[in-house]
Amino acid sequence: MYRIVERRMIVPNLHEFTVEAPQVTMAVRPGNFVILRSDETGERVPLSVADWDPEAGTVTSIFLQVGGSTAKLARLKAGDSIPTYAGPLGKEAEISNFGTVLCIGGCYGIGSVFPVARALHEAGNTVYTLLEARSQYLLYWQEKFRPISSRVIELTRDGSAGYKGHISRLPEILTLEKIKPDRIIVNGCTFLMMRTSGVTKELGVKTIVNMNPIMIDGTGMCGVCRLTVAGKTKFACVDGPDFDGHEVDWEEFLKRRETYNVEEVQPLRRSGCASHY
Amino acid sequence: MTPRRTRAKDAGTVAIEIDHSAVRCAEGVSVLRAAELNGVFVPSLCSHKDLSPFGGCRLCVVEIDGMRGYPLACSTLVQEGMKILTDTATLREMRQEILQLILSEHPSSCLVCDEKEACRENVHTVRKAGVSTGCRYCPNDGQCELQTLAERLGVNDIHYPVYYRGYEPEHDDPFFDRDYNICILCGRCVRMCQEVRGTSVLAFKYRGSKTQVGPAFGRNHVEAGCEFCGACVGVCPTGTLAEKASKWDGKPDRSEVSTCPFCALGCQIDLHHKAGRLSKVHAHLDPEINDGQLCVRGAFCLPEVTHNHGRARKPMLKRGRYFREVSWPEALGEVTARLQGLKPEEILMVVSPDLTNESLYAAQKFIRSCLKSNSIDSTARWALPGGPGVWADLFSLPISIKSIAHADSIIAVGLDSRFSFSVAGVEVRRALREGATLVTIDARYSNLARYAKHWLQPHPGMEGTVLRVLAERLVGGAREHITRPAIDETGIDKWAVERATEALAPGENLAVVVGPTAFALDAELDLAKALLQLGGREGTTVLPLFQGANTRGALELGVLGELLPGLQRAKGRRVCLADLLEGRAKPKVLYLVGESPFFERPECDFLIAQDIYLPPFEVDAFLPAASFAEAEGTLTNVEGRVQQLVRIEDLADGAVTGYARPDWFIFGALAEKLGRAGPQPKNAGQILREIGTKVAGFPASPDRRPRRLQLNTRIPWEKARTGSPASGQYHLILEPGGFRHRGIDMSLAVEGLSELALEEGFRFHPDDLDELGIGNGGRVILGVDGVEVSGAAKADLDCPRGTVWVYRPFAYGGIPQRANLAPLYRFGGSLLSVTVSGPGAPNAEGAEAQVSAGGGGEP
Repeated sequence: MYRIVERRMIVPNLHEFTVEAPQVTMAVRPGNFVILRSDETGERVPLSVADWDPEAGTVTSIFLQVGGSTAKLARLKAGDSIPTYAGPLGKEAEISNFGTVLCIGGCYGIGSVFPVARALHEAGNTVYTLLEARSQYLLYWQEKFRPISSRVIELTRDGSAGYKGHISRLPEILTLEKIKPDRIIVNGCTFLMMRTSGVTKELGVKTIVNMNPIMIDGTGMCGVCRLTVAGKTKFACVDGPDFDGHEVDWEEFLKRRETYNVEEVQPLRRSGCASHY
Repeated sequence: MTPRRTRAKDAGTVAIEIDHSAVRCAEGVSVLRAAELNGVFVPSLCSHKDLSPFGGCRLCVVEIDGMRGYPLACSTLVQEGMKILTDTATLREMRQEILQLILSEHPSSCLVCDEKEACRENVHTVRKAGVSTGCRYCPNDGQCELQTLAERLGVNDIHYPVYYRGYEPEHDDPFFDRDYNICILCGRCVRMCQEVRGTSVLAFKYRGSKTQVGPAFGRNHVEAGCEFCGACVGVCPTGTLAEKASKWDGKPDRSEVSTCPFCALGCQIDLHHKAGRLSKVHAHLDPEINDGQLCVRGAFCLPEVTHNHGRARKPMLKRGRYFREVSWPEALGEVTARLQGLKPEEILMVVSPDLTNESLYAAQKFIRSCLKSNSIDSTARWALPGGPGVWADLFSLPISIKSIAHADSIIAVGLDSRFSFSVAGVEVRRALREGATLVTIDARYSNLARYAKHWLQPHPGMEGTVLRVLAERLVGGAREHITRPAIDETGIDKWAVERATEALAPGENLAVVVGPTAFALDAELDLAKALLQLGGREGTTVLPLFQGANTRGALELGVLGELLPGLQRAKGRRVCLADLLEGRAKPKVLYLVGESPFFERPECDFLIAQDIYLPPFEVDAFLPAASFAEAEGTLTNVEGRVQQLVRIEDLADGAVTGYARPDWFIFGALAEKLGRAGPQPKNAGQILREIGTKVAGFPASPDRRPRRLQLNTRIPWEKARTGSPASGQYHLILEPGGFRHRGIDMSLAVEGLSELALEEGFRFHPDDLDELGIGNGGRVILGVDGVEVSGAAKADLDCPRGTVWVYRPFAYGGIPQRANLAPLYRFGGSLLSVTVSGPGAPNAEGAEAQVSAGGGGEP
């Protein structure tokens, strides 16, 4: 059993989730993920690692409440335990001195891109961070990014903080901010990663995306997390989750994520209190 | 007394001008309503046709010639010659500005996002969020008044600083979630709860920018007395209030008007369905019965009852040690083989009073013409204490639900309308708002007592006597006079009766509502006598309430063995349910149709169950019946209206939709296999036409007119029941309760109902518990007539002293955990004297329920 050190909603719908798992802490690297279950009959949920503390032996993730299993997670409190916490899983993010790197985070991806940005900063890169959200109250962790970034840029759909608009404004923002990135790393919702890959293709900047397919075992056995990259079938769990965003078949990827739309609603069709967060 | 009617009489019309066109409209209506009636759109988010003007959203600003500034259309009444402009450039600009201000406090980034269309296409998987942070994350997406208005008024940008309130969303009440971060404080829910429902659970809390909606004093909705009627959810223009079970279904494809299948009021409902599946239910604005109101069952329980994973959807047969899914031909073959060559008393069919008229008629026809037996019975009998004779007489009285709202004086007897018959309670409170006087007669505190001018609290079981006294005072002319000692016996001060009579007497229109508990306890049939006496008074309407959605249909259509359709006497030998329960008969074949009034398998050679859920005991054959959503038909409500149930789900032979069949169809198929009947009916309408020709007074097609029962020959009343055989210091009251539907208690399929936890424990007045030395939740032992039953005690301030209150489920099916109470249910509805002792008493054994005598007997 793994003890929960903290579970709190940092911004609406996004939860910071810290678990005591010293063995994961020993091996975890930026870009890895873990697989956990909220209870013994629960579904396996893959979560990107957002931070860890080797001394305390704790691992932190940010998760978005989107359905039955994350609703169960969102009801857990500090001191509760979960039965499964497997990791680190997946390939670690590629870290070396690329020069100037732009790290883009949106939604849970603000959390998961943080260790990557930190490692890139430590590897001697000039790191710029762009945090994207629909409104200012959905942004978080700016103060964690400031020490490791040359600049933290905010982009909100309603203009309540930083630039107004969506990631399609990226070329304009780069010009205004006078940033010439050698590499762009995006973590967040599929739509954000797809759109970013679209605009950076025209800019000709290599773009790494952190894929988030439906996943079951996370070790390459089940094949549920398959996706097509540069015409070849890859498994996000063992071949990724980082891939070149310009090579991903986005249309197929989005279709595959819709596979269980009907079933995903089933556990929520109940009128009892505990069925919802 | 009734200002509403006076107003209607004086109402004329006035000539006004809206946007330069001359129109006429009724005097006394608001400018907003006048515009609406003349097809002119004026935006508004806080107005509602049933609610008082609030002026909260301020979007309905208009310009009126001669009036200063920009008056609100919702709170300005029309006047002769008024010239109104609703759509000027200034107004458009003002409305855009106002809407932006509203949106600045409402998570609306999706509304102003320039990629919203592309996002809608791609983001299928990120809905179902716990907190709505934008339209794509909101259960109301695509069906939101705010969204529609933003589009219509052309607001696609917000110039004001965005403010998120940061409240914790509220999920810890059953049935609906509340996220007051997206509330626009239009106050519709508050006004609905206060003005229409009369419950005032919701109010505005705190002030200024901290204003929030909710029950006062930090209570949750259950504690605050919420009826969970869903009226607030229905009027919410945003996704703030969202029904848990359907919130992520998205916008429904269509909706059909149908009848609620859960009680005899027969409320009209809008069944919203998506992809051929019942998604959610809204109250239909039907002025005849419920006028946009429902109770917790109608508002929230229909989808879960029909879609619960526990639904049994395939025919099954016992094959050796196993109970297996089989094909329909195989199941029908086995059942018909067992039904062949039975003597009339070797079969017993028990039919639920929740079935449609068509299925009830087909059931009795199958038994009588195919099996040549009269052995058919129904638990409708239990719902009608006093027997068919009493109720046939009661149904010939003028029964009207909507008349309650127009009454000047109301007597409510033994009715708590919080979770059952809520709509009747709403009608009572409507009348009270118009100045009516309410007197309640109830041994126990009820939710209506709080509004009563006088609450007459007799000893339990004496409600009928009190009503007879009142009837005598108000009408007079009773055949048997109530004597002074009888009044004293009720435990009510005679002056209280005088005062109540004085309060009621001036009322021209009188309404008398009697709940099922009062009938169950009324051993002397005083209630029925009083109702008949009062019913003869001009301007009186009565509403006798009972369990079962189609109990009146069951009575009229001959599923009680002794009565043929049309209440004609049946001849021939028969077995009835009581014979089986009391061990006087052991039928070879027992056929349970949508009913399981047992905790354990009753004694019989072959047991057939035909229902939407499996019974909680072993059966030999199971025939899956179609639920209310999957079969069409009609239900007869308490007033005699024959109302339609609309089929919205298909029953194609498929893995998903299953193999369930309407009950009448199964009887037809069996008759055909038995080769003993003519052509089988093809649809429910055909059966109803047959009923129309065979049963005098019954319509041949759905007919929503109230129908007083016409009796050619009076059916004799059954003898009054004798009191309790035992003597003890406490009165035991077995209140007919539970949320029954067909053979199950709905709380098994509907999680929220079980969380209301209404039915557990023996309820005592806290002072009684103190006297007994038993704590709340402690174990008590009740002794009656040599039977001892133990259970948990529950302190309940609403209980009168000296009584023990227990809910007696109407359908036992599926609540095996209450099987230990079976010996009590054996005594039926009559008032019992019981002895009560704590676990310290010498005969107490262990913590589990102990039954020392009586076995597994049933009522």
